[in-house]
Amino acid sequence: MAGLTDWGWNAGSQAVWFWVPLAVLLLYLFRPRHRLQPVAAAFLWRRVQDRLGGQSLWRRLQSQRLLWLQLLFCLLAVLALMRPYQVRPGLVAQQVVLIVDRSASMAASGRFQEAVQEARQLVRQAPAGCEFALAALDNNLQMLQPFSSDRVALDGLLAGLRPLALGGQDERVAPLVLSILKNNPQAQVHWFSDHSLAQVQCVAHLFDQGRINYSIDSFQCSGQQLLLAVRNYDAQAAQLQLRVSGAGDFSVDRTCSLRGRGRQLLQIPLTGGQGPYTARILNQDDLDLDNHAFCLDPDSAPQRLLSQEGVSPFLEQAAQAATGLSLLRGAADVKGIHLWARLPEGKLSGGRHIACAPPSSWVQSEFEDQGSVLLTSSLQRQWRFRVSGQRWGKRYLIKSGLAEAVLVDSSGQPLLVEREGALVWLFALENSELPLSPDLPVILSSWLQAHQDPAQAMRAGALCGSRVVVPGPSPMQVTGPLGAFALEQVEWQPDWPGFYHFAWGTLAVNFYAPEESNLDRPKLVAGPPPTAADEVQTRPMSQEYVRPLVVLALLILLYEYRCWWGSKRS
Amino acid sequence: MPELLSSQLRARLSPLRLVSPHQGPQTNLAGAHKGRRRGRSMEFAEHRDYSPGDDLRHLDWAAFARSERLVVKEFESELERTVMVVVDFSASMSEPKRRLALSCAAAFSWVGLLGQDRLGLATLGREARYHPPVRGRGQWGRLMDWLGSSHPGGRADLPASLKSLVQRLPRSSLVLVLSDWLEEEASSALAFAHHRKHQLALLQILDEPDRSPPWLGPLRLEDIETAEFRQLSLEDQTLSFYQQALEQHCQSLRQQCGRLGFHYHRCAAEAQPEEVLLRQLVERGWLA
Repeated sequence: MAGLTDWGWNAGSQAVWFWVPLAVLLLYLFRPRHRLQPVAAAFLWRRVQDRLGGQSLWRRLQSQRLLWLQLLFCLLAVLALMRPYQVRPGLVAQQVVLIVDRSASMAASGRFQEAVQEARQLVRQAPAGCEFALAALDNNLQMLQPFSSDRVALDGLLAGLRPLALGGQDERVAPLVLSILKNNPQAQVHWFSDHSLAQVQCVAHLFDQGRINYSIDSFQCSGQQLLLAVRNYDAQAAQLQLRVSGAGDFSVDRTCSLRGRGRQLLQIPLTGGQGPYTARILNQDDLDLDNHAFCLDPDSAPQRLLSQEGVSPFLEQAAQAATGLSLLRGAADVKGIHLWARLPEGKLSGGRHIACAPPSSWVQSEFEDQGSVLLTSSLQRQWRFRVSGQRWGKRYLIKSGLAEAVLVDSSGQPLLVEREGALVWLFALENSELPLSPDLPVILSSWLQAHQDPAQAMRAGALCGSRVVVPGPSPMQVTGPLGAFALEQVEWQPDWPGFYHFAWGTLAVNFYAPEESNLDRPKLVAGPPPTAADEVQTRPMSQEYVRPLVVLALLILLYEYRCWWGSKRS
Repeated sequence: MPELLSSQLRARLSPLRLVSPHQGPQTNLAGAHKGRRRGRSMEFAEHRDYSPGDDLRHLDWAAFARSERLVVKEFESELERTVMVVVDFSASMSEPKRRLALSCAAAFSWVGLLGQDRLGLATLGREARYHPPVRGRGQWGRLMDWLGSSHPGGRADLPASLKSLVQRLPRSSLVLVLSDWLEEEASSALAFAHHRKHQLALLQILDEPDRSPPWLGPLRLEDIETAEFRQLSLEDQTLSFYQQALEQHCQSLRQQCGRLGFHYHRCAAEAQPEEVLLRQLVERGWLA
């Protein structure tokens, strides 16, 4: 049956409406009929009929409860079929283009469902005569429907959209949008994604609406005061609770109000405190990524990095290269810049994946160095830094000039960047919640287990940053910076955090689409300013009729069944 | 055929007699019932002043000796009464109604024959049959056999059937009609019977579906006798209207019977014959 696998259902969810013909069929089967009933005297019933006929029309109708129920049912059904809508303020264009991002990252945290729901609501609330076009973006840009006023078909197409385990190519969107705007300047383009479309600023987009995401952008010590910059990534206002603590009993609580997206600088005078200092956002957010920051006194002594068992050698190398500090190995209770990598799933809360994190305190005593690290000239600098995690990918554009790559992988992708005086460890956004897919290219991050054989460890570390498509539980060839390696007996565990066990040890895998690691952005295209007044939230009306319609249909069924059964019983 | 009247019930009915609604029989045959006029029975009625032409044999000489007035002795008349028991065997008489009607007819026959009445039977329905009046309690079994051989079904057409029946009967006969009386023009038969000086006793037997129909929903209500039909959707209001119409019909029958001096009694088909005969009809004055 070749070829049959190519077809499918665009709007499979619409199958739930099969109950309507079923209900009609049941109504037909159980419809009330005039059953023959012999009686002793028909003249009495004739008098009853004459009396009923002699009533006013209104009183005759009053007794027909079944008729009223059916009329109400029909009325509601007609109203629902007319698909009433409320025109969304601001949506005044006659031609609207909907571009839905269904790349892999949209599958996380229900973003895709929110995007589709937003798009469907937009369609419902559009004024009459509005034409819609629908395009979907994955590793390709597909025009699913050209301009059409058939909203039912469009709604079905939107309902049938599913996220794919593919990386999105945003650069394909810009030419389409620009060509549309060139031919029809009055058209509106709506971009449904979890990030903005950087090339075209006029496109309204869905950008993590309703999510909570705060961060500490920078945290520095000038000797007399602490300078703390906090950022709100969300459109809604936030009141942040911050706590800054230092050595001893130094602790300061501050409240910071941020009106929507933006950044605010706080100055905290130092009154006898001593570093190192820790700043923390006490508000709960959905990522818990950048809500910690650390800084030293300006004249602090050189510190060392502490590494624990299980920390990725690659991470050690990266942090060491970035900071220029000596690396120590010690237990968790040893003070120092603690590094830790991805721990086994049971030791971390779900959804929180920290690739590198800063210490809780700093080294106070000397330890034996584990050896120096070869640093480039650009890394021979004195760092006053913080180490933080940053979501990586197109979602937060690491533009050239804004962040300097400190460490790159074999394909040139930045892994550690310097940004605003801080050292930022990048990890792919898709690390968070994506299911494992054999079709998704992966990056081999690091070994997690130390090896007895230094050569083996070297070989393992050489695989860092290699990109490969894992085919499944079969042998695969991985090419790293230092050569090719054959991995055999890979145990395929289709769940994150993609640990792969084989003869050598355990391999940790970060997932991302290669297209999303491309930081070479084309130059921004200037466009008209985005339209305002799109923030009004209105509710689609047609969906509200579904439940009363179902309830009424059941009532009618029950009533007619009662009549039918009552007449049959007698 | 099951026994129409148990021996126990017959024994309890034996001391009772059928009571005419308001007047005695008008016949020339001697019988056991007191007539309105003076007769030749042994029962003394009154004295009357002598008038020329009176039979001298009726002069009360003892009274003449006491009061020196010529008075004539008059005696009560004792006449014969014809009782006709009419049983409706039409299709509208359901099994409960017909069973009670047969029991009552047997009881009336038994009481009538014991009371030295001339008792006849008639049935209405597919075959309108007539049994001429007979006398003597020995005829009761034969009458019951005749009654039991009737077949139910057909249409009664009470007005026409009763008109033709009462024409056969001697005047002032007592006619007991056991039926559901669900005929629209039944009152015309009553007027004709009254015109013929008959005394009617209407026993209306209604069963549960007649009184409060248990059906609901859309029905084609077809008259079991006339095939007239009405299509109605039975709901609470419709049933209420029906009961009002039935009550109005029964009330009309009751009022006309009261106006003409006839007996009328409505009973439920589900009631026991003992209850109907020994309590309800005795209380109503049908049996005494």
